[in-house]
Amino acid sequence: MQIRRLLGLGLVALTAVVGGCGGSSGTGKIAVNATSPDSGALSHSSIAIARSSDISSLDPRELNIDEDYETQQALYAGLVRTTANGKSIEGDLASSWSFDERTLTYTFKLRGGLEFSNGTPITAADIIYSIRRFSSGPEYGPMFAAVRSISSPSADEIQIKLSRYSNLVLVGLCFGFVVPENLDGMKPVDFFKDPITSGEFQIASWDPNNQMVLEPNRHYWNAAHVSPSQIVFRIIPNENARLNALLAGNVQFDEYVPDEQVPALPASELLLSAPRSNLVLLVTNNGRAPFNKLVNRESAALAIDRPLLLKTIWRDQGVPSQGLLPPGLPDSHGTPSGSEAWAYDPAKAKAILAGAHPSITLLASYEKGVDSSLVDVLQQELEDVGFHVTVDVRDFASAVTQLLSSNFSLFLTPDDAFLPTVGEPMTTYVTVGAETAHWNIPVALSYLKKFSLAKTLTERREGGVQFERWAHSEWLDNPIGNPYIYLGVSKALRGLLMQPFGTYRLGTLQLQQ
Amino acid sequence: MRRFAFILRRLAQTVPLLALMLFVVYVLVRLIPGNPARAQLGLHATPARVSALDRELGLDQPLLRGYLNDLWHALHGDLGTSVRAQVPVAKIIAQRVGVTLWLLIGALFASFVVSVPLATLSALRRDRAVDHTIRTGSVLGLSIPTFWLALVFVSFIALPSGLFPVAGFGHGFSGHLHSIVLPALVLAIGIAPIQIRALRVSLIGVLECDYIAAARALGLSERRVLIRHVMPNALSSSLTLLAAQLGLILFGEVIVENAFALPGVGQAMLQAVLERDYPVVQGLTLLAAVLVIATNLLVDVAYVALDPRVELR
Amino acid sequence: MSTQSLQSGVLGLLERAEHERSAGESRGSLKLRLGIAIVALFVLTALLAPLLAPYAPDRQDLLHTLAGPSTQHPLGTDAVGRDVLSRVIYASSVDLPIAGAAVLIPAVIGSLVGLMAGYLGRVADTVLMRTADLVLAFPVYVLVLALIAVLGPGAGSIIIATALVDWVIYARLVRSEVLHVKSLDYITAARAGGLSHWRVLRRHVLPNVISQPIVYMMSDMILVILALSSLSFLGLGVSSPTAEWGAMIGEAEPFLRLRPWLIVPPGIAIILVGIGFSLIGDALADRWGR
Repeated sequence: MQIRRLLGLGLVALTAVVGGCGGSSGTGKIAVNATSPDSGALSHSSIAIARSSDISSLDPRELNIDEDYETQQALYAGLVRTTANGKSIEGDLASSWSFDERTLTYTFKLRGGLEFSNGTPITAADIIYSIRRFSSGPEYGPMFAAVRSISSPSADEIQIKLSRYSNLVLVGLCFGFVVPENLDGMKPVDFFKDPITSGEFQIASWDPNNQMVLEPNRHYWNAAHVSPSQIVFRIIPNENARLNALLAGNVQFDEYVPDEQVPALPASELLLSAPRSNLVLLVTNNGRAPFNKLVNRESAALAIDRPLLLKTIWRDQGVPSQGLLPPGLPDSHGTPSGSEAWAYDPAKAKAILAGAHPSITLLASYEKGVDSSLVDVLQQELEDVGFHVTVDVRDFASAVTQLLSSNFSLFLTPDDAFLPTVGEPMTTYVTVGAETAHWNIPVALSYLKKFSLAKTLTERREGGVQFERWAHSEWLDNPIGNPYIYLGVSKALRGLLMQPFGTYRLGTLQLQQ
Repeated sequence: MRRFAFILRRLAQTVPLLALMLFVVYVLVRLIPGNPARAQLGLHATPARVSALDRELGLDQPLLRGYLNDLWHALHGDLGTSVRAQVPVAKIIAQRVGVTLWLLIGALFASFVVSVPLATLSALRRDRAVDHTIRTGSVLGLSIPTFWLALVFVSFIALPSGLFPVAGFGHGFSGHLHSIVLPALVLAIGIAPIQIRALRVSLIGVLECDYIAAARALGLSERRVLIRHVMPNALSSSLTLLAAQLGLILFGEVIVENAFALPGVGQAMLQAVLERDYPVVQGLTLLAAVLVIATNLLVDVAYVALDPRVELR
Repeated sequence: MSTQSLQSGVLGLLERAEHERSAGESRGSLKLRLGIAIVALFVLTALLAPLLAPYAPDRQDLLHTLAGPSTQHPLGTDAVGRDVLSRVIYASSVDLPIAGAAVLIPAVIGSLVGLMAGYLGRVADTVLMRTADLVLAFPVYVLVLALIAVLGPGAGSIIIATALVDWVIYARLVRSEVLHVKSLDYITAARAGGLSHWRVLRRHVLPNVISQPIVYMMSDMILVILALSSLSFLGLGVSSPTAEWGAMIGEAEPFLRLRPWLIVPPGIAIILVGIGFSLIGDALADRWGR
C-alpha cells in the first residue's frame, strides 16, 4: 500500500509495459504477454486475487492506499477515466466532452440510460453532487482550485466553468467517482459499508480482512464488456503465503511479489513486471526537532547512498533516484544532474552535524518496495553519520496515526502516482505531505498553481523541475529510490491490462480454460 | 449429592471469575499511552469519530462506571466494534471461531493419536531402547519452535509436493479437513511431548500399583490389565494436563493460523495486535480466558462426576 | 495363589525397582551432565559474545548479501550482509537474560508466597488458593499479546505478563511441598525444641521444597525462550536490528526460496538450548520427583 498522494491525474507513460500489449523492456524479468482478451466469445470466470491488506475505505473521499483505488475504480465510474494503457483519457459516464478555451468551460455529454447498481437512474444531480463532494476533499482539493462552478444546463449535459486554465481538472475528474446524491440520506460510514455502485462491479459479499467478492454490475452502461463472473479478493498479509497461494493455484494474481521472491520463482510462473512510477522516500517531519533545522535535513539526505541501495537491496530492479517526483510519467523530468542530484556525501553529512547526535525515530511500514532489509540499511547509514536511530515498524494505518500526531522524525514509505501527470504527486505533497511533514503550504501551492497553468508537455516538465528544485533546496523530504514493483500472474490469466502507474483493470480479466 | 453440590459451587465460582477477567482486559485499554481513540482511528480520525469512540470505549467515564458498562454489554453479547473493519467483534468471532475449533480439535486428536501409543509403549518397555528413543524424540519436539516448524512444513512439504493447500480453509468438509492436516500436525508436535511424558509417568505409577501386580498375579493378560485398569486412570490426568496446556495451545494457534493463512480467531488476534485494533484485542483476549476457564471447569466436573474415588475439595 | 508366591512376586518387583533405580541414576546423571554442559555452553557464549563472535552483529556488508558459508563467514551472511554466526552468538546474550528474568521473577515471588501460605496455613492459605484460581485462568501468552497491543512491541511485555501470572504456579508447587513437609515429625520436633519459625523454614523446610520449583523453572525457560523468539519472529518482540534467534528467522523468511539455509542456524540454536534445559529438568525430576 502506498499513500496515494495524488488524487489526480497522472499520465503515466511508462517506458515498458503498456497495458495489454505485452513486452516490457529492460526489466530483467520475464515480461508476460498479458494479452488482450479474445475478441470472440468472452469466457466468464471467477478470478481470485491475493492482496496484502484489505481496503481502508470505499469512500472516494478517502483514497488512502493502493487497494482503495484499485477496488474503487472497479466499483465506481466517473465522467471520464484513463484509457487502459494509461496514456490518455476516455469517456466513461460521459460519451464525449469539449473544452472552450475562450470561456474556459468543459461540457460533458452524458450517455443515455445510465443506472446505478440498484437500477435507479444516474442523474446529473448525482454527478454534480459526487464531483463537488470529491473536489472539496482534503487531499484533492487543490486539483480543482480553478473550478468556478459546476452545473447541468440540460439533463444530459454537465458543464464545468474554470476561473483560469488548469491542466489538472480533467485528469482529476478521473477520480470523480459517482455516487447517489446525498448518499441516499445515509451517513458515509454506513453507506460505504455496502455502497450502491456506478461502475463495472458491485459488492457481492465482504468479510473484512479476509475476503471481498465482487460481481458484475448489470446496470453499468458497458456491462457487456465486463468478462469476469466474479472477482474474489483474498487478503493474505504474509507474502510467502500469498506467493504459495499463487503457485498452488488458489489465486490467479498476486498483487505484490517482493523483489527477493522474484529470482526464486520457477520459470513456469509468469511474472509481470510493472515498472511503475514508484517512489520510495523518507517523509521528513519538518515541524519537530531535529529536522526543523535545515542542516539536519541536509545531513540525513547526504547520508544515503542511493546508487548502492539500487544495486544491492533492489538488485538493480529499478531506475536511479530522480528526486521527489516519480519517474515514468510523461511529464517526469528524468534523472537530474548537477545541483539537483541527491548526492551521497557521508563525510559532509557528519561534518554538518558538528558532533551532535540527534535522536530520531524512523517510522516504517512494510509496503511495496519497503522491507526490513531497507530499514536496516537506512538505520545503519544514518547512524554512521551520527544520528541515533530508533526504528518503529507498524502496519500502515497505525503508521499514519503516528504521522498525524507528528510522532515521528522520518517516515519510510513508498509512493506512487495514479494519474498520468506529476501534478498528482505534487498535489499530495502539498496537501497530505504538507500536513504531516510541515511544508510551507502557500509556497508549495504556488508551485502547484504554476504547474497547472502549463499548456504544453515541455512547460509541464519545466513546472515539475521548478518544484523539485525548490523542494531540494529546502531538503523538504528525502527520496530513496525508484524500485520496480512486481506482481505474480498465473499463466492461465488473460486480459490483464496494467496501467503504468501500477493499477489494473478488472473488467477485462479472463481465465484460459 | 455432595458431588452435585460441588459442581454447582464450581459453576458459581466461574461467574465472578469471568467478571474479573473482563475487568483486567478492560483495564488494558486504559493503559494505552496517549489517546487510545485517536490511536485506533488512525486514518479515519475526524474529531466527531474520536469523541464517538471515546464514548464507546467508555474512556470519558470514570474507571468503574466504564467497566460496568462494558460488563453489561458483554453479557448481552456486545463486545465492541472493530475499528479497522467497522464490524462488531462478536461477528468477527462468530465468523472465525469455526476455523479455530477445527484446528484445535484436529490438533488435539492428532496429539492424542500420537501420544497414547507412544507413552504406552514407553511405559511398558521402560528403560529399554524404545523408551529412550521416544523420550529423546519428545525432548526434541518440545524444543522445536512452532513458527519454525510451520515454515518448514509449508516450504518444504506442502509446496513442493502440492498435496496440501497452503492458504485458506477450503470448501466443504473434505476441503476443511485437507487444509488443517498440516497445521494440526505442527500444533500436535508441540503438544504431544508433554502429554507423552506425563502419561508415561502416570502409567508407570499405575503399573507399579499393588492391584496391578495382583491382577497380573491372577493371570490377566498384560493388554487386558492395561486397558481395563491402567488406561482410564492415566487418561484422566492427561485430560487435566490438556486443560492446563490450553493457554499455550492458543498461542500456538495464533502462529499456525498465520503461517497457513487460516482465517481463524488466531489470525484475527495477530492482525488486531499489529493494527492496534483494541476492541478486537480485548474481545479475543476475553474469549481466550473464557475458553480456558470453561475447559478447566469442564475437566474438573468431568473428573468429579466420573471418578468415584476422587476427593472433593 | 499363596502368600508366598505373592511375597516373592512383590520382592521381585522391589528388587527390579532397586536395580532400575541405580541404573537410572547413572543414566540420570549422564542426562544431567549433558544438559548442564549444553546450557553452560550457551551461558558462556552469552557472556563472551564480543570475544567469540568474528564480527559485530550489526555490521552490514551490502556487497556480500545472502552469501553461502565460506572461510570469512562460516555460516554465511544475511540479507544485508551481516555475519550469521556472529548474530547467532550475540543472540544468546539477548534471549538468555530476558528469559532468565521472565522466569526468575515469578519463581522467586511465587516461592516466597507459597512458602508463607503453606507454612502459616489457614487464612493465608485460602487467600492464596483463591487468588491462584483467578490468576491461573489467564492464558499467559495471550495476555502477552494483549500487552504488546497496548504497550507496543518489546520483551518487556513478556516479563510483565509472566511476573503477573506465572508466580502462581510456583506458589502452588511450593505450597504443596510445604504442606507435605510440615506434617513430618522432625519439623514438629524442631518447633517443640524452640526453633523460631524462620529458622525452621530456612533450615528444614526450604531445602526440601526448593526442588520442585527448580524443576519447573527448567521447562519454564524453554517456554519463555520459545515465546520470545515467536514474538520476535512476528515482529512483536525485540526491535531491529537486535540479533535474536526468532528475529533472524523472521528476517530470513522472505528469502526462504532463495536461501532456505538461512533459517537453520538460529532454529538449531533454539532447539539446542531447549534440549539443554529439558535434559536438566528431566534429570532433576527423576532424581527429586515423587
